[in-house]
Parts: sequence; C-alpha cells; structure tokens
Amino acid sequence: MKAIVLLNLAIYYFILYNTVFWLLLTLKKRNLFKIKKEIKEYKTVEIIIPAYNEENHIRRCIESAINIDYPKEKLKITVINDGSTDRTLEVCKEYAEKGLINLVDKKNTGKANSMNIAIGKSKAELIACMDADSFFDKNTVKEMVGYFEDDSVGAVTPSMKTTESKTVLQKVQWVEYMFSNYLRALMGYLNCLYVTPGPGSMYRKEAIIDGFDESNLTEDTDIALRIHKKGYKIANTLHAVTYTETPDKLSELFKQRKRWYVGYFDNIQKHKDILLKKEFGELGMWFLPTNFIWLPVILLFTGLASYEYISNAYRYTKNAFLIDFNIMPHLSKWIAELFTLENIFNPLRYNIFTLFNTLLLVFAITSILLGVKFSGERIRDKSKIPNYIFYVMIYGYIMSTFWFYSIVYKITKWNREELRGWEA
Amino acid sequence: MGSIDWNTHITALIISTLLFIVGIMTGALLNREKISYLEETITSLSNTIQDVELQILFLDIAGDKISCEYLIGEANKLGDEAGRLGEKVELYEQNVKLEDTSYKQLKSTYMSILIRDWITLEKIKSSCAGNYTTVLFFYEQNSVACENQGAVLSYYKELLGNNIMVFALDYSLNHTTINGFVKAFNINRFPSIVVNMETYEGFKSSAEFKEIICSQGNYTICN
Repeated sequence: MKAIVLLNLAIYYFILYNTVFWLLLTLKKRNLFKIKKEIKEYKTVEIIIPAYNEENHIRRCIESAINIDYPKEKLKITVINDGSTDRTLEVCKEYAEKGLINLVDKKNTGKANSMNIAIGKSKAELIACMDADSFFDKNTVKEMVGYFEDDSVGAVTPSMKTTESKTVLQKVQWVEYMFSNYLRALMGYLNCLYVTPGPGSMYRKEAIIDGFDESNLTEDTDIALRIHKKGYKIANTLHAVTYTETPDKLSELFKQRKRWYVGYFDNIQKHKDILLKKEFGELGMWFLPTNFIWLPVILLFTGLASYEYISNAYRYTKNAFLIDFNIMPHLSKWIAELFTLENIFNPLRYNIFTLFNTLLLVFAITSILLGVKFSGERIRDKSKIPNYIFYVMIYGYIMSTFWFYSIVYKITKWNREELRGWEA
Repeated sequence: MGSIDWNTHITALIISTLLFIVGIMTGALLNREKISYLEETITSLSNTIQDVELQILFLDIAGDKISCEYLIGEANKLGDEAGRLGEKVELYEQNVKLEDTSYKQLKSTYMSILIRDWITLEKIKSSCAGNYTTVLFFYEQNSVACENQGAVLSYYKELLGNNIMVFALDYSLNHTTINGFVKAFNINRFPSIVVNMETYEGFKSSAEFKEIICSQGNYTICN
C-alpha cells in the first residue's frame, strides 16, 4: 500500500476522533447551550473601550454600551482615545460632556497600553473590554456577570456575531463565527478556552491586575493563558452576544489572520510550561498538544487534496493541449453521461476516500448547523446555503494557506513590528 | 487542578475506531465489488467475442449463409463493447486507492480478451473487407509519453467512432502474448502503435497520428 494512502488514512482517523469527541460532548452536554447563570449580586462593571481612528464605528459602540441593561450605578463606561488623528475624539467628547462616558485622551501608545492604563485606574470588580469597531447586545453584560458568582471564574467570553455581511468573504466569516461560538461553548465547559476575544470579554479585575502584555501580538491569547496559570477558569456563554466587524477583502483577512496565527505561535512558545501538565486539565493535556497535530493534519489534508486537484487540472490541460484544444467531442460525451444513473451509481467511481470524505462532510455540516442553531440563528435560512458550501469546500484551503504562511513566518522572522496593528 | 473528561475521550476513541474499521472494511468490500463488476464486463465481452468467432468459422464453411454486412455489424458491436470496457478499466485505475492483488490477474485476463478481440476484428476485416483501422497501442506504466499517447488515441476514437478500433496493451504486465507481439512487431520502446500491422515507435502527436490514420483510410477528418 502506498505510503500516501496510509498517511491519508491516519489523517482521517485523527479528524474522525476529534469530530466524534466534540459531537459526543454536544450530545452529553446539550443543556450546556441553554444554561443561564443567575445574578445574585450585581457587581460593579467597567466597560473599557480603547479607540484609535474609529470615527466611523465609535458612536455605534458607545451607544450600545450606554443602552446596556444593567444597573447604571454599577456600570461605568470608559473610552480611551489612543491619539486618534481622525474625529474619534470629537465624537467621544459629545458623550463625555453629557456625562454618559468617562473619556481619557492620551498619546498613541497602543491598545494593550491603553487597556492597562484604564485597568490601573479602575475600581470596578469586573472589567469588560470592547473593541471600538464592535458593539454590545442589550443583555450582554447581564448574561456574563452571573458567571462571576463562582469565585474560580476569572473571565467570561461572549458569543460573537459579525455585523452586516456585504461581501462573499464576510458571509463565509459569518459561518466561521457561528461555528466558533459553538466550539467555544464546548471549550468553556472543558475549561480550555485559550483566548478571550477583544469584542466583549469580561474579566475579574484581580485576575488581570498585572495587565495586558504590551509587546504581545495577540494580547488576548496571552492574558487568557495567564488567567489559566493563576488557577482561574475561563467560561463562555452563548447568551451574551457582541457584534464585530470582519475584513471584507482577502488581503485584509490575510493581514488579520497572520497577526492572530503568528501571535498564537508566539504565545504557545511563551507559555509552553502549560503543555502536558495535569494541573491544566484538558487545556494542557489535550487541547493545546493536539493543536500541534491539528496544524500538520490540516496542512497535509488540504495539501494532499490540492495536489490531487492540481494534478488533475494539469492532466486535463495537458491532454487538451495534446489534441490542439479540440475538447468538444470529449466534453459533450462527458456532459451527456454526467448525470446518468449508470454514471452516478457506477462503483468504479468511488473508493475508500469517498467514504471517509462523505462521513467527514456530514460531520462538518452537522457541526456548522449546530453552531448556527446554538448561536440563536435560523438554520432553515436557505439563503445561507451557498455560504455553508463555500465554508466547507473552500474556506479551509484559504485558512490552511494562512496557517502555513504563519508557520513559515514564525520560523523565519523575528520582527513582529510589521504585523502589529491597532485593530482587533 | 484541571480535570479531564476521560469518559468522553474513551467513548470517542471507541466510536471513531469502530467507524474507522467499518470504513476500511466497506472500502475493501467496495473494491471487491468493483473487481466483480469488471469481471462481469470482461466475461460479457469474452462471450461476445466467442460468439463472433463462431460466426467467422461458420462463414468459412458456409459463406453464402451469413452476410459480411452482418459480421461487420457484429464487429462494430465488439468495438463499442471493448471501448466501454476500456473506459471502465481506466476509471478503476484512476480511482483505486487500496490496491487489490486480484486486479493484476484480472487485467491480464482483460489483455487476453483484447487480443482475441483484435484478432477477431482483423479476421472480419480480411474476410469482409471492413473499412475500419485497427490500432494496437503498446504502453507501459508510469510513462508520461504513454499517457500522452493514450490521450491522443482517445481523442481520435471519440472523433472516428468505430472507424478506428484501439486496443491498449500494457507491457508492464509481463503478459506472454503481449511480449510475443512486442517481438513480432519489432517494438523496442514505448509508447508504440501498430496500425493495420505496421509499427510506429515513439510518441505520435495528434498531427502525426492523423497523417498515419489518413494513410490507411479515407475518413472525414482527412479531407
């Protein structure tokens, strides 16, 4: 048997195990997606919104924070203008003058530093971070505060949805966010959340008293891993929703993911003492270590599939070239036979990989639909079907390319400045 | 201290292992099914050839009882059937992932049937002055030039239908008759084609093959 077939089978087994694990957990813990934590005592909450050149989004963000359903005396909103050069400061001042927000204006020092200044001054028990290009749902804070009744919870992450999707890329990212929400809910149950996203994550102040790492590319991953190291849990709720902007162009998406993925690798290197340590439970013993297998698996899986597509395309092109591109006799015969029952049910057309691919496709569609359902969206919305197909069939290849680039970048380049951006 | 959900991990391990084993077994069964399907098709072609061979013998002893027109019709049927079988074999080889040891034997049988088919068609041609051209295509595995020759021949088969009868013979199989043919037609390299008993060695491009085929018959593409 060819080595490549064995490799493919090993990849299928690994993916199968992981998919079955998550689906099994979903089945066993189906109440998890309905759980709401009751608030016994309203804790003081400070929402911190660092902003840099966000004149187009800051008003929406502040308005959503002001309209949050939470006792006003327990809620403080602080906006930090990080040396914006556009009209961000002017917009913020409108709200500050009405006494609706607390405004800090400072020179540009970066997002993490802005957060640290606000955390240092804050007297609240809980800190909620919010990226200026994102916004809250009315109940977001209320849905999260209940989790902090448990003293061992150091942070809570919300369910994230994308704002209006205009381009195909944004529509596919909508699917990705739905799937991530579902996965994060399960990861929250296993206490293996390794990132507390910028749009809306809430922290127990004492868990982040030492602040964000200002030199870190993805400070939200670093802080999550440090919270674990301090012995706190990170929970997730699907009932607290925040909305965030997504890149509308492939180049923007690439820029964003490059920073995320290289930042992820940097943080795994920084916090390697978590790996294979029993005290970190699923995070240290299973989730992070298997991520090391996932990466080559994803790259190999997509790589081998791409190789097959490319070699077939090459063969067809070469054959067409050999017959001076007179492909019509062949093409018309192929089209005529394509949808005949004899052709569809021809056993010669299928092999062992067809079986496993079909099984994984069924699992992938199930997982996506579960993500959509648990995120509170309609799964019967037929207009979303093309987005699901794109996500399952193509998006993985795009992400694999980004991951591959990030690995190469991580290994070959040490300068992180060119990746650093202010955006989330 | 963090906990590990061993229960779910072990259950997932058992379920995924079972699914994996079932998948492998189904894959093996599917492979057997494919081999049987090919066997059936080969047997069907073999029966048709046998039938036509008997009719040729009948033509030898009682020429006035059977018409050449009828035999040429049978030759066309043989050509169609062999063509369809060839496509099936190609499809099998394209999609095979787990090699079945019995396939080599099956392919060897298939080659023998093809040779019988070729001989039968040659007999009909000489007895009844058939206006089709027979092409023996000798190839070996893992050869780009042979793959390219196959593509050119497939194109002309699509174009000319039963005016051209192509028989692809795999030299890599070490098949006794094929080895004998290679010697008889004085073939020293692959790909090589034998068109109406005349040998052409090496890859023949579309234009070169067109020239060869037009030297053998007056086909529409030659005008």
